[in-house]
Amino acid sequence: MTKSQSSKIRVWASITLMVGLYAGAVYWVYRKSSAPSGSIAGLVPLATSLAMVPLVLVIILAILSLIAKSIRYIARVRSDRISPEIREVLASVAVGSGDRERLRWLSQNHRRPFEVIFTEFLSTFGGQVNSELSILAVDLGLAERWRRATRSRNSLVQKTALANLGRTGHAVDASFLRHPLEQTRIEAACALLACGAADAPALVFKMLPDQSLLGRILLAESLRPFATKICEKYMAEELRSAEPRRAKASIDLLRAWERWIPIETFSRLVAERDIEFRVAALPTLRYASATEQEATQEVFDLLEFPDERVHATAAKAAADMGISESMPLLLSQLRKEGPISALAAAQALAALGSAGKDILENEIISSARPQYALQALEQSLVTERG
Amino acid sequence: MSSFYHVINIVLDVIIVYAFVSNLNYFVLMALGFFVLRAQRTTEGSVERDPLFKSRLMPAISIIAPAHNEELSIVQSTRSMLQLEYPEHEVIVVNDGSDDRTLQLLIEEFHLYKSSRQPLHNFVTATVNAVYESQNLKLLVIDKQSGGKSDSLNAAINYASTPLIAAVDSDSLLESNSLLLVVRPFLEDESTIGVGGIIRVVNGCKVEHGAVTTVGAPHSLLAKFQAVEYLRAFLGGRVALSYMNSLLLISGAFGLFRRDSVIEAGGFEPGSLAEDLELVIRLHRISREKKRVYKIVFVPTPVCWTEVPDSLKTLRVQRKRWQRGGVESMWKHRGMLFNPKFGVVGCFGMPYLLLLEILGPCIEITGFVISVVGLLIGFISVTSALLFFIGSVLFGTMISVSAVLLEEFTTRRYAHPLDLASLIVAAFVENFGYRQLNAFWRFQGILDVARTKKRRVWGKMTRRGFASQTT
Repeated sequence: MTKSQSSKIRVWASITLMVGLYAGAVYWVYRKSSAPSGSIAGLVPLATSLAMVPLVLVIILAILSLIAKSIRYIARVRSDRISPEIREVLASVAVGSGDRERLRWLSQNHRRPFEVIFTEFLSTFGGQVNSELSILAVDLGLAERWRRATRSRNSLVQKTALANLGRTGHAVDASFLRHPLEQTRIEAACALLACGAADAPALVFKMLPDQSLLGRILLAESLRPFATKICEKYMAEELRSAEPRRAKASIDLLRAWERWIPIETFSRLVAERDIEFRVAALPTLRYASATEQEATQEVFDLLEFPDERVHATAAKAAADMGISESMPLLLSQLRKEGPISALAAAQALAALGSAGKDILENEIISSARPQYALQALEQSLVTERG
Repeated sequence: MSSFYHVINIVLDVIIVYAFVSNLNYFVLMALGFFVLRAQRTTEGSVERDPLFKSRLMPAISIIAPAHNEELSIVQSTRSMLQLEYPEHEVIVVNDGSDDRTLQLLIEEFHLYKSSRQPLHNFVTATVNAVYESQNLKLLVIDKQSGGKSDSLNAAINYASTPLIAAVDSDSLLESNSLLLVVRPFLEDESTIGVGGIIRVVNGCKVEHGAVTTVGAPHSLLAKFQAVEYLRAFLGGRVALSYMNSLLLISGAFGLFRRDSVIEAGGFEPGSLAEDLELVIRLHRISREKKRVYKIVFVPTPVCWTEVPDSLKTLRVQRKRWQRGGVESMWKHRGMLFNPKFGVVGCFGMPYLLLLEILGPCIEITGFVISVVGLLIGFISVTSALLFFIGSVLFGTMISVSAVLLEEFTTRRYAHPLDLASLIVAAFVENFGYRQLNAFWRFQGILDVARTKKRRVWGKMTRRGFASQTT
């Protein structure tokens, strides 16, 4: 049973239990308050009881909420008052000149605002300040508290703890990478990468295909510092994989990084796959292809592909890679194809320099449908003028 | 005479049973909403804004905002849309035949030039007079002849080139991170075709430079009642319906859709008074008919702030229009009702809409009339009538206070305890007059369907503009 299924069962079980308790309480109040009647109209007292039971509960909850809100409000006002001092003392200790005792006192007596500000500092500063903060996290007992919190049943607490441990460079248990909740897996992966564990990049890279696009986006950023190593060691194997999702995850990673890291036989590996994959890989050709010739050939193949839907992306790739030999194909696309494809072709021609713009000008004068050429030229002029 | 009393008796019985069932239903949905919201809160990410904001993998979004005589708020709301945190988004404002200075203000404020941009799709709309673009900002303004809201939305879709489109009211304010939050279901599950965010009442909040800086409860009682209503509708009903994948309404004020799905469905229905409801029902219908795996989701965190009417006259017009739109959409898709072919949407979502939202006002009004007449002619005892009234007030109070508490237990946007207290008081007071009045307006809206012909109109609403909103 998946986590989401068991969560659904828990929700429905809670509701059923609550409705059962509610019905029982109503029946009890009804028996106490009125005698049964033959007509349905006699159920009016039941209606009143039906509303009375939860209403009493809701009123109690409302009073408790108001009290809790007031307490939280006062705590926030206090926290707002002490926050500037916490920031000041923490900043001076982090640069090595502050009052450590005062900081300890603040961390013990204003735990919540202190932890919030400490976390804020961790995600803002790097280098020497961050190293100092990591030492302070151990010294003030925060690291130990976060380590304990990673075992919390509250996933929000658990995730925050994992993130904080990662930011301070403390190791986390690799078994969190198999956690049923994606967000927890991601926090754990980011923490593992941040703490510098030697096998972390490989482990995290291998878990990519099983994550949603959201997960892949978040992990791609954390994996960015290890891009070269991953491309050299693992990428080609993933692209060769028989499972499309593994190859797709690798392409997503390359698209997110947008870095020039040639992968041997990249274009060939891409060309062997289905058309959907090839279109997804188009923006990465200029970064990942080992030779320009290979990449150009793939763009040409896709510009000539019989399905028009592919051409818009191919035209953009041709423009990005500056393939001026593609102009005749782009012109044909501009003249014959639907609005999306024709506009993409016109924009590509405009991006390919003066020769492309000459073609567009000629189209404006002579063509039966000059509108896309006109739009592309106008956009190009506006961009040039800044 | 006795057979007349017999019929009245049966009607009364039906009304009482209806009141039981509908209130119990609301209560269960509210409870379900609580559990779902709590679960969602714990699964949200904690440190993800920066990577999302930077990533090239994020799908681009076109924000489409129709505007008709919005000179008071158009500049501020457009600026707020342009400033949203998102890696790649463009704003398309459609000036739908405004008589005021809406277009001029946009041209002057954003230094727009007349563009030769061409439509990429071919929904038939009212004539487009001109298209304007900004040199530096990703802003497109379509000036067209008046055709109504749906027509304007379709005109904007014609010019949109991104995979996702966000339909937004130009008189609303989106929170700066709302696009990053509303796009999440699309990233988490590729079968998602529509996502709605929560709409909150801006009256009483402090607005600075197109952003809500301090959240507060509205000052006027009427706006407070509506704030409670919005919480009840969004946090109670829609969270639960979304959980069951039978969400039928993504508010027109803020919804994100997959462009291809909207185009496949034929866009927004021209002339519809509830184009948002109608589109979502149609998306369900098409997806179910084609046996696709799909999701239409509500997420409570991306907030869109809207100004609610603070006069009874404007509110009456708004509610009549909503009700009429609801009836029209229901009638158009009546084939889905109780139809197992449409799964949970046909067997729960549509009947819920019909019985509780559409027919609710009729039954309430009938109940009031029979109670009053019955009391006058001595058919109903004072005790029974009083108990019925107390019962309905207690139920109403319970559900409304629960909605306010749901907000407090989950999203917790009101910072001051006095705001919470004033909303709880409003949740109680609204049962004495406001709810009955609302039911009456909605009943009138149903009667309007039979009385008047379909018109392509904009709901007229007197606005104060965001500049005048303060705590």
